[in-house]
Amino acid sequence: MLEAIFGNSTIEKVLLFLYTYKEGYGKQISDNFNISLNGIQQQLQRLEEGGVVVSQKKGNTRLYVFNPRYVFLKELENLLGKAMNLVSEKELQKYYRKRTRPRKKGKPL
Amino acid sequence: MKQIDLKNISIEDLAGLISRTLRKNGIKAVLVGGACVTIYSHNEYMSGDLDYVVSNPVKEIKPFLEKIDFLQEGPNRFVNTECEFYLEFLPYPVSLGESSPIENFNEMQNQNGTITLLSPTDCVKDRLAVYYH
Repeated sequence: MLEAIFGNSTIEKVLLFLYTYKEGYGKQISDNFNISLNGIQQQLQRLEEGGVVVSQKKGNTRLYVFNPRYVFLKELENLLGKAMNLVSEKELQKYYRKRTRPRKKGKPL
Repeated sequence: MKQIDLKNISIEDLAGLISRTLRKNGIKAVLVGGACVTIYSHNEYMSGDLDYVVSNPVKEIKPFLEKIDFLQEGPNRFVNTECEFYLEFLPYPVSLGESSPIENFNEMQNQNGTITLLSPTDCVKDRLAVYYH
């Protein structure tokens, strides 16, 4: 969808992942889309070099978030939001509706 | 030039050193983030890193940082094994995630150099932007 603008589909997936889940690390994104970790890390590095994302070490993992100081952040989020509206229901369920924290104990099903 | 003790250096002195190093090599650098709060609050708040927005790509500033013993660790990150603070470099312009980049900054001088940094007001806005995002 946006790969013509971003250059490849991996970077599009990385951006949509961060837009949806607000944060992520390489292995998590790689597992989510079943894409090689190396490919994901290359794109995260590219985005970090460009100031689009920033990272922080948490334990043994490096966690990435959008850079709140990125000058085009609002525009980028608008673009990604629009792109998310066009993602099929099947893809939404498969890639963008995953639980990121444990289910609350005792919560009714 | 006297040897700088990176093990015991304060954030403000380190900011002076980094700012002077970059400035003398023609690189514009603006200190943003928590380090500004540390400076304005006289260490009441302690940041663990120094975030700079710089006019040149990281690969161009790398040799100047290596001369003062800061080595590249990640795409934008430089560390010195002795120093407790690490350095992060972000590309221009200085922005708080809004459409208009910030163009007016403060300058502070210390024994190591002149620091260009966010004004106190923009510093607070910057922290809020980071917090809320």
